[in-house]
Amino acid sequence: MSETVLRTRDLTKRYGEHAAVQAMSIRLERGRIYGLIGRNGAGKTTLMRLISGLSVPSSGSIELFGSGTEQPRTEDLARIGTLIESPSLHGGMTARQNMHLHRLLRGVPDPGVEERLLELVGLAGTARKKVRDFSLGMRQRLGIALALIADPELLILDEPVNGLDPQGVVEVRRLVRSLAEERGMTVLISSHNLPELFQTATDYLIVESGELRLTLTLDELEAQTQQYLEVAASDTAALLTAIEETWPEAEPRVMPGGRVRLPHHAEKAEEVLRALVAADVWPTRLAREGESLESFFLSVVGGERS
Amino acid sequence: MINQLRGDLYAIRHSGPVLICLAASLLAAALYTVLQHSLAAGDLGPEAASGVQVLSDVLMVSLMGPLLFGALVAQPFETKSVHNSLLASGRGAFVGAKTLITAAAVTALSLPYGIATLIGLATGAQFAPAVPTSFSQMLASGVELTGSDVRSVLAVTVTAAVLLTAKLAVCLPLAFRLRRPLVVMAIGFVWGFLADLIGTTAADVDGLAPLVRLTPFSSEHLPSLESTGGELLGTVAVSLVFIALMGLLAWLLFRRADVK
Repeated sequence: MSETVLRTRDLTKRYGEHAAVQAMSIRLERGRIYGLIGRNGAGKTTLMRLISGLSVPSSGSIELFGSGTEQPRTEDLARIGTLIESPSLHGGMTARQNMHLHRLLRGVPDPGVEERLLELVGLAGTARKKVRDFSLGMRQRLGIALALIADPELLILDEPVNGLDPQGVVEVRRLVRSLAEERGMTVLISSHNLPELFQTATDYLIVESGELRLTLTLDELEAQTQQYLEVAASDTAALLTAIEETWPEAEPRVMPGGRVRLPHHAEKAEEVLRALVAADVWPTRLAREGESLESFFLSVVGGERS
Repeated sequence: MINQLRGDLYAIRHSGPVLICLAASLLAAALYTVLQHSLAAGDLGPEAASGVQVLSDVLMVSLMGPLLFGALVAQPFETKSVHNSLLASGRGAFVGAKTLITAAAVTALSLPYGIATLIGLATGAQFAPAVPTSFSQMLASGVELTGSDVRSVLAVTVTAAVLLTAKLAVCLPLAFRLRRPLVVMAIGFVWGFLADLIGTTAADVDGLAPLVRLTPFSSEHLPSLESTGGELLGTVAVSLVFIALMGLLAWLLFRRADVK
């Protein structure tokens, strides 16, 4: 059975009358990467702050690492690493000095971790350059290194690819995946970049107006956003026969109105048309359909669909 | 808390404001001592005394003390290094460490005046106090430095330093509440001048005098070479308890506060 790293029950955070997080119950398992998706102001950062002990819940509970307690204990929080909103950086110090400071703060005895992490995020060569002179991308990389300094079991990253160039985005993706796969680290990551999250996360939490709207795995999300070829003909039976004889693995789905969906042929419209014509089945409709990530997200949060 | 203290000490070593404050205090103490001698020797007229007192311990610590509270407490909120601190050791340890480190740093601002006093007395020169602070009065006393006098000067120095720190300790909860170094500095600077005035006024109100005596703002807590050991210990105790109370108030304010 999978190990639960975080469980919140009816977690609520109110600012006056406004509920930034409303009765949110989530469960995160070890070694998985959770993409936290939501519009600006949906409650993503507030949720991350609550889990990290930076905010105190108005009601509800947060249980970390199966502690059995209803609020995070100091020893449980010590097993978390965070990069929330912007990196914790001293502009007047170098990257190495920032690493050293945070290693002292976190009580990590091994000084070698500083160099290893700087190398991991591609900042080993910054030497004497002060952090105030770093680009946004370099600051983000350093922020990720700082979040990893205590070798956390739960890593919380709020918009970690902000300001990164495409190569940096790919590197962060690889890093996050390797942390989860090789070290069994659980990662909660938020981003506005849906395609990027789609390539990184194994599970998704969609939030809107402080509420958890949907949780789903990558497989479920792929199923929801799968592209397909939709075909129709005046004789649906002949259409199906032609398809099944040509492609026994096609897995056609017959929809109301006689439309037939081909999930594995979204990119093969021309090939399908030729095969049908050869079988003397003349299509009345042939179109590539399916929801994009953005369209699916908007359909969940109740926004306007593209 | 030890990790937080180690981190703070490392940050201080690489922090401009803290090192500049300590250097400024050292320079001001030396200049203040020389100028007080000039006042006594007649090289400076009595009208120059008001200018000289700008360099006194009371003014310098009132100016730089709140700056240190701002830099050491409020700045981690601006840089967000507080995130890692809270994850590592929790809020209680964070406030405890900040109380200790700020108290030590602000106390250190006064110590150069004690050293300057010892050196001044060792020269046997004359000094005229520009403002009647503990250090100025010790200098003006012209005592010959025997072993016991050195101990007395050091005891008064530490007592006066801790007392000054306690007076400014209200900046601690203020820094946890406001989290903006410059605002803390401005309010703390004004408070440094108002505090004694409020203490003196309150002491004149019937029934309030015994209470005021339990705070560092009582005029009775002015350490001097004439103070007995008991009086100095009493002043230190009142100061330390007040600093601890400010630490407790800071923790109460911060215990459930949101951190950006």
